[in-house]
Amino acid sequence: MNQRLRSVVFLGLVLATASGLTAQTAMPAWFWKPLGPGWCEVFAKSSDEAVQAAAFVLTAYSRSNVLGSFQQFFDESLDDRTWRNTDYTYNFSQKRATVLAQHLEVKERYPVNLYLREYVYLVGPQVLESPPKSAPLEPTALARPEWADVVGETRAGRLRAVGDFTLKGNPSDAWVKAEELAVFQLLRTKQVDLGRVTRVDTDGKADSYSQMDWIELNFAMADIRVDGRWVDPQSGDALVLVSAPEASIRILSP
Amino acid sequence: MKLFRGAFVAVAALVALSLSACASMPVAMADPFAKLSEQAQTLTERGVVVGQGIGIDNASRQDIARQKAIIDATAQVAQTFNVKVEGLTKSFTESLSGSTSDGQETNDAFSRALKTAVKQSLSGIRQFGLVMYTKEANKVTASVLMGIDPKAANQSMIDEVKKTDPKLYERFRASKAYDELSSEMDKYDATK
Repeated sequence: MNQRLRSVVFLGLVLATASGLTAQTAMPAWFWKPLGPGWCEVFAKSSDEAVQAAAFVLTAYSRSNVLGSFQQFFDESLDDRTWRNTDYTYNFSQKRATVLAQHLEVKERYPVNLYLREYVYLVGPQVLESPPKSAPLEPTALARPEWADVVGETRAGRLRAVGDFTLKGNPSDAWVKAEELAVFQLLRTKQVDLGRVTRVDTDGKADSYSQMDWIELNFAMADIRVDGRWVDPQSGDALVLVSAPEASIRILSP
Repeated sequence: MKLFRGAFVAVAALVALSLSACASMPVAMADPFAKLSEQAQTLTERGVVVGQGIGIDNASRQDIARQKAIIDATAQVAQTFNVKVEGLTKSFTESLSGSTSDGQETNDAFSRALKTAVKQSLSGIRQFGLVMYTKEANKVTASVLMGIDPKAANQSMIDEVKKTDPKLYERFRASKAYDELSSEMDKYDATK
């Protein structure tokens, strides 16, 4: 009996973990189509954390410097493996973020991962009213957006780029990562400082190929905006569209 | 006897058929990204500097395959502008006497290393066309075209000068070079 009880508890735990970690794909309309300037959609575990995170994101997107680098190394002789490393920092005014946080509030929240107690929060200015409540939408209910494969296209004076990241892990991490990748792609569209070294070694019997890529980022950016989100049903990837006026991205001197 | 002869003919026919199948021409593998290659060719003819990148991920990650393809295509565009190639070949031969029955043995050692390096700043690079994927078990291959449209690159340069040094921009506008550049851009537009 004791054994059976233990089995039931174990099974219950497995099911709870699985359901908690399973990607929550339905999201409110304001997540798929962001409301615009001043609003921010963030993943957090509490309202305080959400307001703080939104203040940082809004400040960084309104004006900041981005410094960073990306390296990728591939060696055929080492099991065809690729090593990728990204290192970057956003420099923005902490003071401005603190002041902004005092004028923001949580307007709505929606559970993303109940097991980890994570929610997606809609944070907006206190002076603005909350948007009307809407039922969560499954991504399958959304048509494939025209921007799904965009890299570096200008529309209505704004440069656009898309970032994508797999939803196989934690969905909140995937959405944040996809957004970061979209911002980097946007910056790289303006200018990319790229280096590549390839080497082929032959000893008459076999060839071995290795390749190293690196990209440096050193930009001042302003007025970055998230314009849309979508899940590609074919790949199960989270896609995020970001845009900025072309003139608002400037290359900083090294 | 007749039956034996019939069976012999049937077996011979079967063997001949099998051998002919083995000897047939190998089936050419269709290039899954042929459409992108054609698009790259068309863009090159229009004067766009274009690179077709390939990205592979062996763990079913389409996002990583796409990111790798974008970097590969960007690097290829960069290589169009500037690439440094270094080659090193080592060849070593020695003859040893008396070590074999015919009295002579030759030892050969050969190695070659080919290194290419590029470091380039690119402005206004963007994606042309859609990203295409193929899937084979866990292996995802992505291909993408990235390129620099000469009009966008020139315009971006002019805008930068206009912003950073308005006097230089005014001088440039007054020069013949501006007319030439403008006429080149119009020609490019006409081919689109």
